[in-house]
Amino acid sequence: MADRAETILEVRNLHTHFHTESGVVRALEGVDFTLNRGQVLGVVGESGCGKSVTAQCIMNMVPSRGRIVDGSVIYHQRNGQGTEAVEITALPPKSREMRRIRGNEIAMIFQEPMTSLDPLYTVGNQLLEAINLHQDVDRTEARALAVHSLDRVQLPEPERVFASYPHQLSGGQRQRVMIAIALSCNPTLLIADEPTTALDVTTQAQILSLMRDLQDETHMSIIFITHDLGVVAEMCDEVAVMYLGKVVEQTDIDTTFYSPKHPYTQALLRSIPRLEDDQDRRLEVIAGSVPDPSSIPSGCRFHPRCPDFVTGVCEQREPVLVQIEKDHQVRCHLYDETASSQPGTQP
Amino acid sequence: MLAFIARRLIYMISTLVLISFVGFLIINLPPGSYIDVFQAQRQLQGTHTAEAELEALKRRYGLDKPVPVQYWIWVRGFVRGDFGRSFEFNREVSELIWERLGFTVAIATGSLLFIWLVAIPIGIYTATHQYKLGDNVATIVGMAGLSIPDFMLALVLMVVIQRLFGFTVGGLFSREYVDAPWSLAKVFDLAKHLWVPIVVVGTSGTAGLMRIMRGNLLDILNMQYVQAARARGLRETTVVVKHAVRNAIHPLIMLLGMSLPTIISGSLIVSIVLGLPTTGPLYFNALRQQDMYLAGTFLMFLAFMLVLGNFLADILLGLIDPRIRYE
Repeated sequence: MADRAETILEVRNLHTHFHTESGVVRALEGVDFTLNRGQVLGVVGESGCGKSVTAQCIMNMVPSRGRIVDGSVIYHQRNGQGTEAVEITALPPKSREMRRIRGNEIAMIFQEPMTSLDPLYTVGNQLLEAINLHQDVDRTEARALAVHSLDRVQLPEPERVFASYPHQLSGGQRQRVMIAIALSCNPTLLIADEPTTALDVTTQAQILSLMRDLQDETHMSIIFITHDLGVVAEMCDEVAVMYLGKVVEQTDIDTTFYSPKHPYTQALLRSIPRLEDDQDRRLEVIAGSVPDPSSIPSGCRFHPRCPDFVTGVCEQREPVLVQIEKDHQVRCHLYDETASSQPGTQP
Repeated sequence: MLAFIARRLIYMISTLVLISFVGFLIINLPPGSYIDVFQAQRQLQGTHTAEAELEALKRRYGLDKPVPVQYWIWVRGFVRGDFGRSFEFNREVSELIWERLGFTVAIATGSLLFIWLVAIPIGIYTATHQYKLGDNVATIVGMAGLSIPDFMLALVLMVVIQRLFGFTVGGLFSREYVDAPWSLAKVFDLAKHLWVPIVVVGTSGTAGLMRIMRGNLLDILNMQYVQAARARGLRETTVVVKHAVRNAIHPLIMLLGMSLPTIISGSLIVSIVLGLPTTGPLYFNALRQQDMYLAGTFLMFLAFMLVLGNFLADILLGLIDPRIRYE
């Protein structure tokens, strides 16, 4: 752990839109969060809330139809003396500087281990790609590094895996290979986009504990994208909750689970089954369903489903992210002094 | 691998035997035989054919025997490279085909190369620049190329070149070079004529292949391993060429295998329109004249090329895709 809180990544007011035949899809409409060096941040939300697009923005790899229309991603890169702020969103996606950051400073692992490796090349070939690209080593050193990184993710017989084709490995093994590739160049930030969703439960547990161990060992920062609050509880130091393209709450892990402020976070936690619950009690669900991204509700995007909905405020004005405590931000009118003091006022 | 090849060879031979039998049967299905065609032609010329002469012809070609026997006589010769005689030309079938094979293969390989060299790069460009200006232009041009029939394009080109440049592009040589011995001038003259059939045949093929390449590559570009390769920091060209294109090329190799017979059939209609001395028109005439040994041999060649093309494509696919195993 870093001695003092030192910011490594800042995402500010990020807006990303996709231009499709059926109109503009506003995938991100205000994503804000901060990640400290050596910390694990969980990004939680339902499917379609923009978690993966956020990851693509940080990697500056938004698909061709998408565009970052506002906001910024700032990466604090360590150099000799201190840190230097790099505005990732200002770099051209195909530029040399961006490619030097990708894979080297910021690495990423994906949701589907079965399709994350090119079926036509051996594991070794794809692992060496990353090593040769970012490290100044000769062929034997590169190979040794590659085998070592396979060993580090606890793959038995790393030499054999090195020479294997992806189809010869299981899903769990492939995800380990992906982690090995991601960590081969010792990145300072790892983005894990639902890395265990496609795996069965036992493999999932193994991969999580591996990631935990590797994080302890390297002190890298991790952005852990998931919709599984159990995984969050196991892995994360900080949590950012997203709803329909906006971050609605960011705080530390204990506050998230024990005193969440945003009605959406509260509702999410109530919908988790608990062991101590009465077996006959029905599980609580959040009323309604996620609106279609092309027909976003006015005002607060959560208001049609919100149990604490305030008529005349919530459907009228968009809430802003307010700092309610140190390291605790909420985007809700209930905690916004300026809003709640003048209810019903219209702009 | 060897066992696979051996097994495939056995399949190939049995397929060909079956095709030869069915093909021969079908060629013999229409009523009458070459003798009737021969007689009709003589009558048109005003000469009467003696009954004895016809009998002699029948005996010479074994036409008086039942179809299975005729088939057996024909097939027996294959091993010795004897494919029977052409009634119409009164020459060995193998000689006739061999004569025209050179130009046929030249034109077909030329147009195949043209198609691949033009279509693949355009396909890659349009997929990586989806819905940009270049993609839209290529799509419109490609659709036009796909919908214009090739014989039509051949006619238009002939007229345009005749009017604008004042020389004919029909055939493969200008009149003065047809019987001349080979010389630099003759080669130059050939090149002047050769590009027309290559472009004509290539246009529709290019349009089709371009669309297939574009579609395949678009699918592959959305695959997670392409994103993962990009996330490693690889250059965009490496991502596209090494990871995307190689995966997208699979269906095209199968397609290439299936287009092998066109080397022999030599795009029939275009050859007839342009008056090319290829095997295509020869095949067409043989079918019309009921010149059955010539037609049957062509059919066998086409079948052989198709079977061979598929076989080669399978082996090639196995070489580029580690997931394919020969067992």
